[in-house]
Parts: sequence; C-alpha cells; structure tokens
Amino acid sequence: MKIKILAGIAAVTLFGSCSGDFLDADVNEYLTKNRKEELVKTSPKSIALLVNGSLDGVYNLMIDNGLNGNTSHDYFGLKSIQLATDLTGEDVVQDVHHHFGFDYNVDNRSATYRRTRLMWALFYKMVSSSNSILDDYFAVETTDKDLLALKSQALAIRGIAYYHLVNLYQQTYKGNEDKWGVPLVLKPTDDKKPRAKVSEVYKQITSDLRFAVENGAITSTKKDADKLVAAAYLAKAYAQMEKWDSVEVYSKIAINGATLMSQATYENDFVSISNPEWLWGNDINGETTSLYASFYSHADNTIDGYASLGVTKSIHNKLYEKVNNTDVRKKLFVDNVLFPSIAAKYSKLKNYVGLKYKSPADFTGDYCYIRVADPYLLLAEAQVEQNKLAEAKATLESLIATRQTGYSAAAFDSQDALRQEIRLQRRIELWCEGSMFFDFKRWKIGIVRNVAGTNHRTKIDVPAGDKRWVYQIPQGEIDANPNIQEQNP
Amino acid sequence: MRRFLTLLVTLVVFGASASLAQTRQVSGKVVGADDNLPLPGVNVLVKEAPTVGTTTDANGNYTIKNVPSNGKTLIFRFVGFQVLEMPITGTQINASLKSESKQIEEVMVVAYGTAKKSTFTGSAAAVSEKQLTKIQASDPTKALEGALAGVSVISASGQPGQSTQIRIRGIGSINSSNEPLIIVDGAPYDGNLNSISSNDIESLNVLKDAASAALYGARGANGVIIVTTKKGKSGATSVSFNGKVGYNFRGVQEYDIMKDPKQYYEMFWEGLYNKGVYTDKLNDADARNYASNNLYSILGYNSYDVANNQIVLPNGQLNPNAKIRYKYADWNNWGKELYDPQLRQDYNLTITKGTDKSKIYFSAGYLDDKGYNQNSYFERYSSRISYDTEIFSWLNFGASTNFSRTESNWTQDGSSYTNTFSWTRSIAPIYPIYLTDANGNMVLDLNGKPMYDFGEAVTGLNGGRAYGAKTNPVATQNEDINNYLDYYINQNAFATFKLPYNISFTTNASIYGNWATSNDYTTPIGGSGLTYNGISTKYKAQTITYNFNQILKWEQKFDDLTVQLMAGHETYKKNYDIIYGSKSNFLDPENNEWANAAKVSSLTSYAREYLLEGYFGQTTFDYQNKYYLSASLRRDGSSIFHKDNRWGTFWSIGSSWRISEEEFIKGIEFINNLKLKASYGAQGNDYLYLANSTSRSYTPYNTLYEVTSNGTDLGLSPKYLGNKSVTWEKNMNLNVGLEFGLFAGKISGEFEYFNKKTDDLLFNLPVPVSTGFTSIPTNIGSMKNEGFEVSLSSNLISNDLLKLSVNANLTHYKNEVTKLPDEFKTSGITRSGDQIIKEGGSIYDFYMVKWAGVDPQNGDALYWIKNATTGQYEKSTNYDASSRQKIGTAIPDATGGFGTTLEIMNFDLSLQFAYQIGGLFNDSQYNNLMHGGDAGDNWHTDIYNRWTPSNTNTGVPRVEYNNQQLTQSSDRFITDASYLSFKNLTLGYNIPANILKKANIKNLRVFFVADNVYLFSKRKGMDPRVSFSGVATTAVYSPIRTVSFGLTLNL
Repeated sequence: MKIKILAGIAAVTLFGSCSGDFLDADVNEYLTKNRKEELVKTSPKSIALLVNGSLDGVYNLMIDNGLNGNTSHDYFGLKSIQLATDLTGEDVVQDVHHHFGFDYNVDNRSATYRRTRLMWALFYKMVSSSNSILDDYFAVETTDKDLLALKSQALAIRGIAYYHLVNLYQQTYKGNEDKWGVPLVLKPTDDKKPRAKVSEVYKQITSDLRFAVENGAITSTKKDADKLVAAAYLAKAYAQMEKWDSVEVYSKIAINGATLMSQATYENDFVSISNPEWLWGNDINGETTSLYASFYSHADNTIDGYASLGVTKSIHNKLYEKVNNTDVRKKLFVDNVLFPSIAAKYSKLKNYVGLKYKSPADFTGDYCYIRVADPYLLLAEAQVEQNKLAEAKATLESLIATRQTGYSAAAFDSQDALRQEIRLQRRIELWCEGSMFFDFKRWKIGIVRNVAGTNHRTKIDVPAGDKRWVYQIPQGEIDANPNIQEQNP
Repeated sequence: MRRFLTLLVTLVVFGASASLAQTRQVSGKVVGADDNLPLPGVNVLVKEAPTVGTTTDANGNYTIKNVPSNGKTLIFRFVGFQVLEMPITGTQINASLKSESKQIEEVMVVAYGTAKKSTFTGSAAAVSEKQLTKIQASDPTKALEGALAGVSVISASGQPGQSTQIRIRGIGSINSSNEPLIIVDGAPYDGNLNSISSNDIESLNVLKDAASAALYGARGANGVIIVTTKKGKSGATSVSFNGKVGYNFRGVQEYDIMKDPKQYYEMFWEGLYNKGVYTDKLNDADARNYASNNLYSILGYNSYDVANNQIVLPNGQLNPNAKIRYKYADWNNWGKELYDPQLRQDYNLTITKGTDKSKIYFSAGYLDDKGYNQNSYFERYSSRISYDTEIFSWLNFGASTNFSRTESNWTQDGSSYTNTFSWTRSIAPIYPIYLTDANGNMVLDLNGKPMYDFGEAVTGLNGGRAYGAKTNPVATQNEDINNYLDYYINQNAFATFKLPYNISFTTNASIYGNWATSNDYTTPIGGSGLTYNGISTKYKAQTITYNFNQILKWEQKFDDLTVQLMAGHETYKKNYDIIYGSKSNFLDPENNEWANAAKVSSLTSYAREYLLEGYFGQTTFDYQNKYYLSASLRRDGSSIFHKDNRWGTFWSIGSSWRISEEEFIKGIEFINNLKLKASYGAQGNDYLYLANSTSRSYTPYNTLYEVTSNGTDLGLSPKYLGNKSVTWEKNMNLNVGLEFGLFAGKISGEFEYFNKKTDDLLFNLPVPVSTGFTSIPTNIGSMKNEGFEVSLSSNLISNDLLKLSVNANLTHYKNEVTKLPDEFKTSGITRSGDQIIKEGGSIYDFYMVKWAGVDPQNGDALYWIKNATTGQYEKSTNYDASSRQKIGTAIPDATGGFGTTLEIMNFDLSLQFAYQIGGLFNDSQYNNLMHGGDAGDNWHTDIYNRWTPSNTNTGVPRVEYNNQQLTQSSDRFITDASYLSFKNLTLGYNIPANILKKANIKNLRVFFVADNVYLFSKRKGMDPRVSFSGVATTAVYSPIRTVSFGLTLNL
C-alpha cells in the first residue's frame, strides 16, 4: 500500500508543467528580427557587418535563381532579365525554340506569365531590401562619410530597380510622363501603393541616384552599386528623359577616366570581373553559380549549357553585316568566311552564333550588369543630341578606335548621320548586354526582323510604342493590391 | 510454475478441510472448439467451492477427486479462451473451449486507449491486419486506398518507397498541412511510415470526427491515423513465417505515342509546311520546299539512308526509297532499354510467446522492392521486439523497440531530361540510343561495349538532337545516384500503476530517432553533370522526437451507470538537424565521395525544433448499455506561435444511442444492431507551410533574415515576413451517423453525415510583391467540407462449404471556400497557374480560357475571349489569359472502393477495387504530346486527327512548327478524372490440416497476389491518382504492378 501511495504521488508530480519557456523553439536557420535588433545595439563592428551584409544580400539576390521558390531554369536574377529583354528585340537571334523562346517571339508579357512575375519580384525585392536597410540603419541623419557611402549604395540599388521597373512596365519617359508607372514603395511600412505617374517615378530615380553619386564612394569591388554605377544608371535615366545636359554630366562621372580593354581581352577574356571596363557585376564562382539556370548556360554557346544544346544565340545577320571587317567585334561571332580558324574551333556552331560570352566550362563566368562602354556611348549620344558634333565624334572615336584600329567618325558630318552611327555602334558594342530593349524604347524605333535574308526565326515586326514593349503587371500584384489603378493593355 | 505451486498449496490446505465433507470424483477431457485438440493447463474449478479444482494434463485430461456435495457447476478457464461453465451432470464432464477472440466484443483503438465499438460515440474505421498484409506496398497506409469511407489516399509516383498522401473527409486547409496526424503506439510519428513493415501492424485506425480525435486537439484537425503494432500474445509459442516473391511491372501503360519515324517525319514536315504557309506567308511550292529543306536541320537527325533534304519529299510523303539506316533492332525503343520487370521479395518472421502476465513479440523482416525502372529500389531490414509484463499485481510494464534500415534509390522526376518517364514519352521516335557510324552500326568503345548517343552533332552524320541534347538516360541512369539511407529506432515504454479506488495511472515515453543520409550524384559521363564534371550533394540529417505523457484513469460502476474519467498531460519535442553540402569536379566518375572532388559549391548546417505541450481530460458515461455520452477537452501550447497566442482549447462532445437495445426494437427479428450517434467539437492545426514551399514554418511569428554567401562575403536578405498574432487554425467538426446490422449479419453498414468547417485558416496572405515579400502568415478565411459516407458489407453466403462476402464504401463531399480576405473576394487567390481559390468555389477550381475548337477554314485554334467592349465571350484566335472562366473542380463527386472475398473449401479469393467518379484532371502529359510542332518532341497518335484541308471538321488544330497560338493554355486538356482501379487480387489455398498435422504445422497457406492490376481511366496512360488537386505537371514514375507468389506458415 505504501508503494501504491508513493506511486500515486509520483504520478501527480509527473503532471507538473514544463518550465515557462519550454515552448520557445530555437531558430538557427535564419536570423530573427529580434536578434538582428539586438545585434545592431552590440557594437559598431556588428552594425558594419549587418549593413554590408544587407547590401551583399541584395547583390546575392541579383544572381540567385531561387527567388520566391522559383525553380525554372530561365530565371537567374538580373542577367536573366537582361537576356530576356535582349531576345525581345531585333539584334539577338535564338536559333531554336526553348527557354526564352517566348521572349524571343515577343510573347512573354502577360500578367500570368513567369517572366513578368519574376521581373517584378526581383526589382521590388531590391527596392524593399533597400528600404529596410535605410530604415534599419539610416533612420537617423548622419554625416559620417563611410556611413553615407553605404547609404548611397542602398539608394543606388533602389534607383536602379525603379529605372528597370518603370521602363519594363510602361513606355519610355518622353511623351508618357503622365501615364501610370509603378507603385512607389519607399518605406518598409508602405503597403498596397497605387501606380505612380511615370514622371513621379523618374523623380524618385533621379533623386535616389543623385544622392548616391554625390555621397557615394568608388569602392574597390565591382559587386557594389557604388558612385560610378549610380552615375551610369543616372545617365541612362536621363537619356530616357532626353535631358542630354545631365546625361553628359553623369556619364562623364561614370566614365571616370576608365581604362578601356584591349582587343585581346575583348576577344578572349570578356567574361571576367577583372575586365577593366566593368562597372558593376558579380563574381560567379563554384558556390554562387546556379549551374544550368545561369546566364552562361543560356548565353555561352561554347560550353555545355542550354545554349550549346542547340539553343544558340546569334547576332542578327543584318546587324553583323554592318560591323567593320577589321573590328575586333566582328570576331565575336562565328564567320567561316572571314575567320575560318575561329569557326573551325567551334565547328558545331553555325555562322552568326555569338562568341562574346566564353566562360569556363562550369558556368563560372562572371556577371556584368553594366560596363563603361555604356556611359561612353551615352556621352557621345548626349553630345550629338546637343549638337556638339566635334565632341561627339571625339568621344565616339576614342572608344571605337580601341575596337577597330584607326576608326574615324569623320564621314558622319550631319547630326543625324552621326546620331545613326552612334546608335549603330551602341547596338554592336552592347550586343546582348541587356541595354538594347531600353534603348530601342527611348529611341522610339521598332523591331524589324521580317527582312529579306534575315537569320531571324520569328520574323515579326513590332512598331515603336506598341503594347508589346510593355509588360503587364503580374496577376499576383493585381490580386493583392486593390489600389493598382489599371493593368497595362 | 508459481501458479502450479500456489494451486498445489491451495489444494493441500483447503482440500484437506473439504475432504471432511462428503465428496465425489469428476473427470473429463478439455479440447479447443476450433480444432478439437486437447488443451493442457486448463484450470478446472468447482464454482460453488472455488478452492476445489485442478488443471488438465498434457492430454487435456483432468480429475477432481473431491467435489463437495454442494458443487453443481464446473468452471473451465484458460488463457485466450472463453470461460466455460458446465453443470456437473455426471462423473464424466468433457469441455470444448471457444477461443476468446470470437466472443469478445469488438474493441477499437482510440485516442489514449481503447473503446468498445458498441459504446463509441465517434466516427472511426479500421483496416485490419488481414487487409494490410495483402497489399504489397512499402508504405502500409497504401492499404487504406479505397478501403475506408472518408479516406482518400494517393501516391505521387510509383517509385518504390514512395510515401502516400492521405486526406480524411476533404481538404481542410489552404496553406497548412492537410495530412492527418499519425500516431504510432501512442506517440505522434513524424517519420516515414515505410520504415514499418505491414507485417508488424495490428491495425490502422482512422479517427474521422471530433469525438474520436479531439483529444489530439492540437493536431487532430485533419483526422488521426492510429497505427497499432503487434504485441505478444498469451498462449503457446507461435512462429509464423510469411514470404512473397514476385515481379514488379509497369502498372499503367504509356499513352498511345508515335513509334514510327516515318509518321513523325511526315507530321513534322507538315508542321514546317504550315509555318511556311501561315506564318511566313510563303506560297505553296516554297512552303513545301522550305519544309523538306529544313526538316533535318531542325530535328538534327536523319534516320534514313537518303539525303538530308529528301527525307520527306515536297509532296509531304516519306521518300519511297528511304530505308532506316540503323542496323540494329529497337534503335529508338528507349523504354525497352530502361524498363524491365524486377524482382520483389518480402519475408517476415514473427515469434510470439506469452502467459497472461508476460507476453513477448519478436519479428524480423526483409523487403527488397526493385522498381522496373533501372536503378530504382527500396530495401528494408526491420526488426521489432515488444515485451509486456505484470511486475506486481499493481504494476504493469511494457516496452517495444523497432529498428529498421531502409535504403532506396530514386530516379529523377520533375521536368529534367533525366526523368526517364518524361524522356520515353516525349522523345521523337527518330533518335537512336546508341552511337552509330556512317554504316548504321553501333560504335563500340575499346572495351567492346556499345557507346551511347548523347545527341551531339557528328560532322557528316548528325546535326545535334533537337530533344535533350547531350543527354542519354539509358547511359546515365545507372551512374546517377539519388540514394537515401535511413536508420530508424522507435522505442516505446509504458508503466501502468493500479491505484486504490479504481484509479490507474499510466505513463508512456517514446523516443523516435531517424538518421538519414542522402547522396545525390550526377555523373560526369554525360547528361546534366557533364558540364561541371560531376556534382554530388549529400546530407546527413537527424530527427529525434520525444513524447512523454501521464494519464490518470478512473472507472466506476453505479448500477446502470458506468462513468469513466481520464486526465492527462503530454509533452512532445522534435529536434531536426542537418549538415548539407555539395561538391563538383570529380576525378573518377565511379567514386561519388567528396574526397574524389575538387570544388565546394555549397555547405550549410542548421537545426529546427518543434515543441508541444498539452493538458487533456475526457469523461464518458454509459447508461444501461444504451445511452452513451462522452466529452473531452484539451488545451495545447505550440512552439509554432508567439507566446501570447500559443495556447488553444479544443473540445468535443459526443453521444450515441443503441436503439437496438430498446425493448421496442428487440422484438424486431431482422434488426441486430442499430445505433445512432452524433458528435461535435473543435480541433486545431498548427502546421503552416512557408510561403512558396512545402517546408514547415516553425516560427511564423518571427520576421526572418537569411544569410547568403557569394563565396567569401556574407549577405543578409529578408526571407520571411512574420506575424506575432498568428495562431491556431480551428476546425469545427459535426458528425451524425447511423450504424446498422440487419438479417443476422447479412447486411451491416454505416451511414454518416459530416460537416467540417475550418475557421481562422492559417493563411499565407499574399502581400503586394511591391513590398518585397510575397506573403504574411495570418488567420483569415473559412472553408467547409460537407458530405456523407456510406459503408456496407454483407456476408452473402456463409456456410461450411462456401463463404462469400462483399463490401463497398462511398464518400461524397463538397468543398467550399466560404470566406476569403476582403481584397480577394472578387479576384480570388491564384493557387497555381490554372486554379483560383474564390469564395463560394472549391479549393481546386480550375479557371482557364475556354477552348472554342478549331477554325474549319485554316485549322486555327479558337478560344473563348472576352470582348472588351461588349463583355461577351467570342470565338477568337487572339488568346488573352484574362479571359479565364471557371471550368470546374478537381474534387470528385464520389470516391470509394469495393471488394469481395470468396472462400470455397480451402481456397480463398479476394478482389479489391478503388474508384473515383467525377472531378477534373488537367492532363498535361497529353497536352505536351499534342503540341503544335516542337522540334524533337513526340506526338500522341491523336494528332493524326489534326486539321488539314481535307480534315476540317476536327477538334485538333493544324500542326505548325513553333506556333504558340495553337497550344495556349485552355480547358482543352481538362479531362474527367473518373477511374476504376483494380487494386488487388489475392488467391490463396490453405493446405488441409490433416496433411500438415504430420509435419507439426498448424497452418500453411500458399497464395498468389497481384497489386495495381489494372487502371481504367478516360485515356490510356492518364493516371489521375497522382494528385488531389487535379494538377500534375510532370511525368511521374508510372505505378508498379506487383505480381507475387507467397506462403504463410504457422508453427
């Protein structure tokens, strides 16, 4: 009986509850917001780690293919959007229908499609990350130069994201200033914002980027959206606005006495972040490569990625024909007449197939978002548009002569002839680098593929200003945000 | 032995005193009623003088010499047999004891205990051991398929080792788990059920309503499945062996796909010709030349011995001179190389032994389940030992240990080219498997083995395969590894104390451990691993769960009333940790260890934790064995929620009325059983998924940041937007049922109505993507599942010669989303590309652009497109996704199963079927096979009915290379998902006892068994059983048909 009573007592004590915080689960897979706020308060070193980490988080996001659970191989951050928009144009040919095939058919813009969904998601993720950084670490005004430089990166990222957004989801600035652009989300608490006018979005872009140019530093690593990157994108934004004097100012800042690459580098070593012309990009290594879902898988026709599975990317032969035979850029494409030895090296590739992107076999070529040739050519364009023809010629020649020894722009003696030459050189120079969709829009020229003898597979023409230049706002946003005033046609 | 001594002492002491009175002698023989074999050790006592008695000897004989004069009755007691009383009518009293199991009232396993079926107020159903062991599946819950009303079971693929997905009475949640809670021997089970051999399971009980499941409050919302493993039995030592050997075949046939290169080339030629005519606006002759000239360059391969531009002539016909240039058979039959029936072996040994005080169970099993797809298998070693004993009269103790080791290799699925099922279905029949020289012969390597054709261009021979270039699954399937090795230990122990005043106290402790190793290796020899020279991803993960509960029970009888009270406390803790990494660039292709590789591509480790604590109580009242009432209450705290919102209260009330026990019914001869029952209660769900993921959200109240890396610097990214106020999802569950048994068991069954309403749905509420996040966890919205289920069974014929029984069940329910957040009231929430969740609709409603047929003029695909100005839907070629309309739901009108068992003499035959009526399935595989003209992709033979100028009245648009317009997403491929599955056929023969007797064998049965015998669906090849939602976007491992011979031997 004694034992029974003891057992009874034991039973009752076993009922006792566990201690109060028994039910607080440990989280070590992620950093919780509470812990982050604690870390901010621990030491300046941990703040620096957090700010730099948060910025690097954005840069990593821009090369990641797993955004919002994506698993498709045709998304890999900013480069996939650059490739998709290039294919939605006149100068790049996709030889076989595959990933990006609907971009190439100028038919990947509907609200329910993956492309528009992921574009929107990436750029708004960049925006919201910047907003968090600004709110978490820069809520209080500072005059500390180092801190201002870090803040500048956050603002540069936001400005660049809005530059892309407004140009993907609306026509160009000029003539469309009062149309609906994209929602301006500027604080972490901003929710369900309506579409702002194009002009308002540009106001924000230029304000963010101007701050970044004025307060930013030139950093030693090209992954940073530093002062030069901000200046280059500011010049691009002003070019959309056709504010040529400002384009001139900021493109000059971006050029910053850049060293241009040699012809040998252009031909053989274009894809390394050590390339002196790169302003902004990311170092892709064994850990960061997204393998088959990567830019070089799709754009490098020489390694075993999707491109070499037959989905090669070629230059439009009509553009190629305009490249001077002595120009190093002529060698960036298979041409078994002019360069039989190169063609022999890539015997499985057809004429016009691009050789610009030759990365290491394991897809670890680096990502370049923008390089100095872009602001260089914008400077020439700004000069020609302001009718400073001599300066424009000089700028153009100083760049193109490094590609084509002895190049001269002397023959282009009218403003329009020079303008056309600068545009042509821009198309050749920036072929498949993610700029042309945006340039065609501001130039207000259409896509002309249906020409005799073209190597285009989808022979369609898209006039300037057509709705196909504008992506529809993703259905998810329309569904979740009742304040979106209207969907794009 | 002690019992004998006690008895001896008793006999000596009391017998001596009794002998003073007048006595007489009684003797006799005791046998078992089943087999008429003598029973040794049977206690024989005089009822009126319980101290007088004896036990039977080895031959079942007994003699009681001193039966007192007042002794009128003998009591025969033996473990495992019903107690028998016989009047002492002479000096020779023979007894025949009936085994206990047949007499005892049906008892069912319920939450924290057992209940008599007759008194139970809730809704539960069970699959017995007999049904379980018939099914040849690695996951025992496969036996639930079609077996029980209200329970739907699917397998996402036929891969050996594949787990099932189970839904009980509909779909209760949107963003939280819909899987039922699995309880194994009293403890929540978080592992793979394929670690447990069906042979070790006594029963699978499914608790469907609140009265039965609310005691598991926290996690009972989706129903509960209680797995009860076998325990030792008292009685003589029993040894049984069960073995099955057979073959695994492909269970569902391939779609009717093109197999002849001639047909493919001609059809593709037509696609090119149509592109010339309709897109490039060429004239007829130019289009014909264009098609003939470009056929080879686009497809890359010429299977014939004619010039590349003359495979198909401009008249659209294969060149009459063309002969296949490959000089070996089956050059394009990929399926033949990849799929081959494989051996399946399953052996189990069970030993039980016990007295009424101590019982032991031991088993060992081996399963070798090889898939018919190369290099796919599941192998299991399992053993189990269980021991129950009465230590003191007031203390019972028991423990069981289950160990198993499973190893499986999975073949690729998803959309990759290494998915063989996708490959064999979709590759055009013009591409050879082996590398071929200019003469059409196989190219051999230096070892004399044929080399594989990876689809690469060979100058002068081939251009590069348009389908899956640089890939050859026949070559890489055996080299690629996707291996999972798991060790499981599940340890349970309990102690029950009998305390004064009919109180008992039980404590149960369980520890479950799973040590998992995964090894995913993509060979560098070809396929997707070629580029980075092989890549190997490995992880080692450990899951340990602890469950500890303490339960007090009290039971008291007061005349007509029996009261039971129970109170308990339970804690549960789950720890998971993982180390995960991958490396690429391998030296030796045959060594997948990281020691053989150069480049680290990822490395990470982390742990996860889940904790739960609950207090619960239950009371039941039984009045006159006619009226029953039960009530339960549970309060649970979960680590999933913030501490301010952590605790939830769950409850149930239930009642039942055995109408058949009423006097006014008792007179009605044909009614044997009639019981009405009703229950209502609340259950919870805390299993929220991370947005865009199938992983659990462990602390949704936290906003989370993720550390990312670019190889050197650390990055920090917002990952997850948390919400402190998120709390339990609540499920209000009403059940009303009628059980009946008529005509002496000829018909028995159950009809139940249920209405499950889920409120405060755990919801990943989409937030505008412009915020940078995709969703925030909230409790918002309601959904209900209302329906009924019917189970019927009948012993149609039951006599000594012939027994025939049939059973059937049917479930119908309607799922309705009754409330959504305001902002989604009109637009709904996109669930997947083609499904939108809207108020008033079901969770699996398809919204698609409606197919409007084919324009007879030109073969254009027409869609019903909304006219922007009139708002009317018009037939148009201008496809616009915003013209989506509601098509219907994937939820079927009815599901269920039926079966029959026939026993004639020593033969037995059973057939089982599962079925579904109604519901829609998006047959995306068929859709892919009906493409407009994708280079290298095969066609379904239905494409022969495409539009041509001479076949204008058709539902299949013209073929045209690279024309998206013809194959836009629409309801064209939405198909009725009704099916009938012939699930299992078992034919057995019991070797007659008189033959076995000589060999000292109790029982020997030989049998033939076939699983997944045949599937009848709307389209050959279409298997709607792979998905609840009606959406299956990729080709899956087609289910296995297993055909085996087996034997069961009892010693």
